[in-house]
Amino acid sequence: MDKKKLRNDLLLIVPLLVAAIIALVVLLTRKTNKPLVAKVYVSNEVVQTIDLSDTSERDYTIQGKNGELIVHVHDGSIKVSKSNCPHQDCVNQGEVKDTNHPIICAYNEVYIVIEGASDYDVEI
Amino acid sequence: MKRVILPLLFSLCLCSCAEPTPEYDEFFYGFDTYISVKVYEDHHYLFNGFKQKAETFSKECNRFVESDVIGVRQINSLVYDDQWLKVSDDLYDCLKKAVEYTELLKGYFSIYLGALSHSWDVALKDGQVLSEQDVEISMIYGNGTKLEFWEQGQSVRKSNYGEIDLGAIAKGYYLDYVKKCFDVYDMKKYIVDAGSSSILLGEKPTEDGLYTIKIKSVENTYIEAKNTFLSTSSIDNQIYTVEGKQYSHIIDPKTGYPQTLNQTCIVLTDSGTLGDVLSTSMMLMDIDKVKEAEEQFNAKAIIIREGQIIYQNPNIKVVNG
Repeated sequence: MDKKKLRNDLLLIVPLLVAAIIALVVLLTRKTNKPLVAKVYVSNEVVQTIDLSDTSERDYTIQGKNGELIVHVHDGSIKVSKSNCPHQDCVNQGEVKDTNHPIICAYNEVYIVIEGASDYDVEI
Repeated sequence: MKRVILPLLFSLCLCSCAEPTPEYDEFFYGFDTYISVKVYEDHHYLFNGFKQKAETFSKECNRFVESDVIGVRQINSLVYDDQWLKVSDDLYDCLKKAVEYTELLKGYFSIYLGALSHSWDVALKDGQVLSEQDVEISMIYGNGTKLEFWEQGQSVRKSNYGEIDLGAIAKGYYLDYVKKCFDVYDMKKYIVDAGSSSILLGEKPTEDGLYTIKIKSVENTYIEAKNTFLSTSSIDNQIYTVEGKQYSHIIDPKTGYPQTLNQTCIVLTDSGTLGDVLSTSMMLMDIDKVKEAEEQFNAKAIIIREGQIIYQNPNIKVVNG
């Protein structure tokens, strides 16, 4: 093979391969830098999107199917601080900071989930 | 031209090896919780069926809320011992399995203590404990109750005053239905989470196909699994302390009291129905009995007490974070 052609081919292929491998390593090993966002659903519709990168303490009033919930957000975590539901399971669930760990109020059909990359697929 | 295109294509392929994105990723309400379905293959026409089945079957199994379907609520209202009630295919089949498991796991599982369970729920939330007499009477009613089946008429009848409760089996039964649908279409890559206590794992679209499941009850501990049902019972977040004693939500069929031996039980099986039943029953079992049940039902279990794994089937892959 023409040595000059081979050299030119390698000059083209090798940098592309190196760039692709670097990109792959970065993609596979990075921890997410994407800011976490919490979404509040009522009866499967998004009613509130909360930016968790804002670490200030604040409350959101959510109108559920059968009453009101107060969602408290602080320092990247979210919880239901008050609910009119009879069982209070959502309140007892406490604070959540992880994705794949939804807070559920079945009585009000409220589902709160933090979205973003996670180290696990589901929590039990 | 080939020399330019081929490396570019190769590079693109490498770059696409990131976290897989589901083709279908939705959740819907059912069984008093949210059911999340993630599927990495495209058969989207299945999914409306999943939603509808969850809605209908959860109504049939609900013993409190009045609805437009015939279900457990009506069965529990049957007054006369000779009164038959026609029910749906699914409810009929689920009830048959429930009765079978109540027999096979006598002393650890019973579907006939619905009234007692509800009484405990109300009392504990009020900071009170049921009297011994109330417990005894409820146990007599519950243990004296029987469900009979009439195959031809697809009907059931209940004798005595106990109430049926399918809370410990309904979600698992639903997941068995979902699995059958996936199998019909030869679909393998999915994860269905019915409120974290009942999960159906197919294969994750990664090289090893394993899903990573975090165990809340034990710090920094994960299970890696695929192609299995994963059922969990736990007293975490469901403990009441009254007069210095702790009470859970699981009634011991031997005593009528809501006190369990274990903190959390995780069971891996090839049946959602069985998994749900075993995870509840094993909350009352010592380790020897757990091993016996694993053998009898071809299941694998993890038992947790006070934040520590005290038993783990050697065929379950547990990793520390």
